[in-house]
Amino acid sequence: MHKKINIIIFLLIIFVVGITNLGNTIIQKSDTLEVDESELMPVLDLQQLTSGNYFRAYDDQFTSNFLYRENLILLSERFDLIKGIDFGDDLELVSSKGINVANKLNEKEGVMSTEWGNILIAGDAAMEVHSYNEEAIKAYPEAINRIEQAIGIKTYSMLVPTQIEFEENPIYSDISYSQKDSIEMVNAYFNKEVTPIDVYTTLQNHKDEYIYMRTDHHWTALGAYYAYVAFIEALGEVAVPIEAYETKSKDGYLGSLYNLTHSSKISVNPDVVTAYLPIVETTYRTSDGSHWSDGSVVNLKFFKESEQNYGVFLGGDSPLSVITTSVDNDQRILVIKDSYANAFIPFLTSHYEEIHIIDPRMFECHIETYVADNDIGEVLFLNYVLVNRYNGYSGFFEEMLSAE
Amino acid sequence: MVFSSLIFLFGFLPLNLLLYFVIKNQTYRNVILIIFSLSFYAWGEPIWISLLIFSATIDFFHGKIIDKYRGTKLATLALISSIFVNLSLLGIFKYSGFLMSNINMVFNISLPVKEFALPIGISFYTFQTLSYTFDVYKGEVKAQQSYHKFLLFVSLFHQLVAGPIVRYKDIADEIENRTTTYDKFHYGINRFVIGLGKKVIIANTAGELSSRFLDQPFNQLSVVSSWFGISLFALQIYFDFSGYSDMAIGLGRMFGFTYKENFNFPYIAKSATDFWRRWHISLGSFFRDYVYIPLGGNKLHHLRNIIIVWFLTGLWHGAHWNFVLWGMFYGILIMVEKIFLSKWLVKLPKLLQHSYLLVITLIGWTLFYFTDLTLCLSYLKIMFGMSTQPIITATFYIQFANNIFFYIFACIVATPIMNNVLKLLITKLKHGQTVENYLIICRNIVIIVVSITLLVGETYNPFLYFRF
Repeated sequence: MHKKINIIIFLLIIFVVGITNLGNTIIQKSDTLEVDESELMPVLDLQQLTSGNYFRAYDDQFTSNFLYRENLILLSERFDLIKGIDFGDDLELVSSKGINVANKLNEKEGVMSTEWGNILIAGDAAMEVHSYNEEAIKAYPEAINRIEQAIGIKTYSMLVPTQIEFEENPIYSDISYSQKDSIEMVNAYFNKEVTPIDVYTTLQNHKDEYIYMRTDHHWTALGAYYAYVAFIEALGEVAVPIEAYETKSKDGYLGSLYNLTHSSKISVNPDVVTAYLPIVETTYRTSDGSHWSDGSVVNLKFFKESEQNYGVFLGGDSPLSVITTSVDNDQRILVIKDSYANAFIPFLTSHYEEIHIIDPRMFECHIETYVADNDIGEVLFLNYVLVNRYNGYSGFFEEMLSAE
Repeated sequence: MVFSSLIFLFGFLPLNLLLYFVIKNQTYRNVILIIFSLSFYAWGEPIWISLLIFSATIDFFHGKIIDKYRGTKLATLALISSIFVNLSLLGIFKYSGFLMSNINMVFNISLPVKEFALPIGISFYTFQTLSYTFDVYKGEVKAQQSYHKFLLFVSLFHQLVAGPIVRYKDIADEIENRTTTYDKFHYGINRFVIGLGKKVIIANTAGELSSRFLDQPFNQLSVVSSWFGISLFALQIYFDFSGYSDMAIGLGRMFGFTYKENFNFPYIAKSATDFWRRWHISLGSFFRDYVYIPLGGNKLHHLRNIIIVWFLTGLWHGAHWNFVLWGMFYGILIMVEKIFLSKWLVKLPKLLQHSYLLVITLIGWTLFYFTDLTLCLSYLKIMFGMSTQPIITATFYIQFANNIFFYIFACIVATPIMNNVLKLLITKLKHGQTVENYLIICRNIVIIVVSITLLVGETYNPFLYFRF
């Protein structure tokens, strides 16, 4: 008797789930959890059939339109919690492939980096874990040296340490490699024409303030402000006092590290993204390589119409963007950067007539030509320290030197 | 297509079961199975299905010739031809790149190396058809006269892609007459669901975990974490492979086929010899019956035979030297055990015997995992404290604590403990058997639900998010 029950239950499950998902490959839903355009069925032709693409696409369609998919995804992430227990101070290590790794070796669209990154969840905050990579620590400054030699203008380097560096419990330094050491090692390789900017000290002094996000790998605009002060004072200028800025905030932000881990420990305490509006007039244009479009330095659409609130800063990453300001001092700076700079650059608007911004992962022009054509006077390389966990990033710099 | 996918579980399988059981005619049922099997294979390899059909067709004729001209030179010729064709197929599609790069290396030349994408299952179906022609030659089975029945044997999707290597003589009767009963179907479901759980719940999780240790830069490892990492791989590969075999056996039983067991709790073995009687049994017995014994077994050229068999066993697993090393590693151990080590081992307490086996298995898996021998050597050095890596780090404590329940659970399920406890329960409890029966149904439901959840969860790709 029980055998028949077993059989009936099994058949019931596979048939019911099968029938309710029958329409999966015909209907296409848009998925709110991810942005992707590759979910269309390929044309049913011989080439697609014989290469197996048609079947693969069928598989993908079936699974991406599976009933209750979003709920099941969240549920499966909950299963992670029953695999074990937290250690000590509510510590949990989550590993993820391809997290925020801009890797010259893996530029192909949609190819996930195979590098593992570790994220530490400590209490209600998530932080990326730093690791030592001898090759990258050398390649990065050497590439910058070569660019400096080619373009011959004032060159600055800012490496921004992250939250995990300033945690007091010594276990953190056991888990995460010293970013202070990383910065010092990188600086030691610079030619004397390259000026490293120290933001470590100021961030350390302000570490008890809300300078890093809990659910995202970025710093807050407040943290970026302190770095801006350090930068501008190193150049011998006077920083704008923070009270001079009008602010706009958005709460309820669950950022990149939440999306990667879906940890319920951090979703209980979302971030507040605060933007400091520039006090001078600005126009902002971005180029995707062929077309220019207009935007805003602080783009409030990302507060109103999007969940990607960090995108409020410069509207996210683009290959090339240019800010022109009402500041009439003939100073033009080029910032070559990762997304940390996005929160930082709005503060520079009070000091430069033009700010040119290049994302080396996407920019495809010859850097010497660009600098000469646009009469750039200074260049700032701004990345977070963790960019040198992996090889390949400096390859993007090299590409800019040799591009046609 | 793979068994542990949503489209198989909720598309292919229900459709297959529906058509098979609605139609009562045995011949039509065979045709349905053939069509579904070929579709199953074509789904993943649309082009290489031609190779599968070619191999099946040519050995169908080989078999008929051997049977018809039994005792004559023609029969022997047909056997040799079958061996030649099958091994050539394997040689070209699996080993040609390997062969060419080795020739280039040895002779310091630069011949073009053409790497073929390995057609799925080729290592299995060539061996299956080879075993058929051998068995026909030896007179252990009559040649199958019906082409479609032979094609069914070769292409049957249950064991086509990942084994067990099913010998024709084991299912010859069932191809002609098989019955499907509630008992068999019930058993089949249980085996299938267990296999699904092993693969999706345990193997996939262990694999993701092990990758953090084996694929990250080694300067982040400690001695302890290196052992932990490779033990996770040991769990992954066992649950993956034995899970697949369970699913194959389960599916077969649902349709009335009885395949032999392929795994028997290998990690409770007490020696390398014992291990290979429990691991990938269908492969070990293939090499024993078709290579070792024909070459003379332990009667003639014993040492040479062992070396050849283990060289081939290693090589079968992949076209790289590390697999050969892995095979030879076990070959040497088995020889040493035969010569004197076994006698010492049995005198030791059981715990030490088990520990011995676990240590050598983990060393073996390290050889198996790294196709790059320099990485392999580095990893082994870390394992044995011959590197600058610390014994243990804070990171390890966190990683271990974060996964402790899973790890213990996986280790327990890799042994017969749960089965033994269940059996004890039955004898002690008043309605023990009924309890067990309904526990099994609950277990099945839980495994299926959890597996669906995890399979859907796996499809989530957060990489697409990083544009900011």
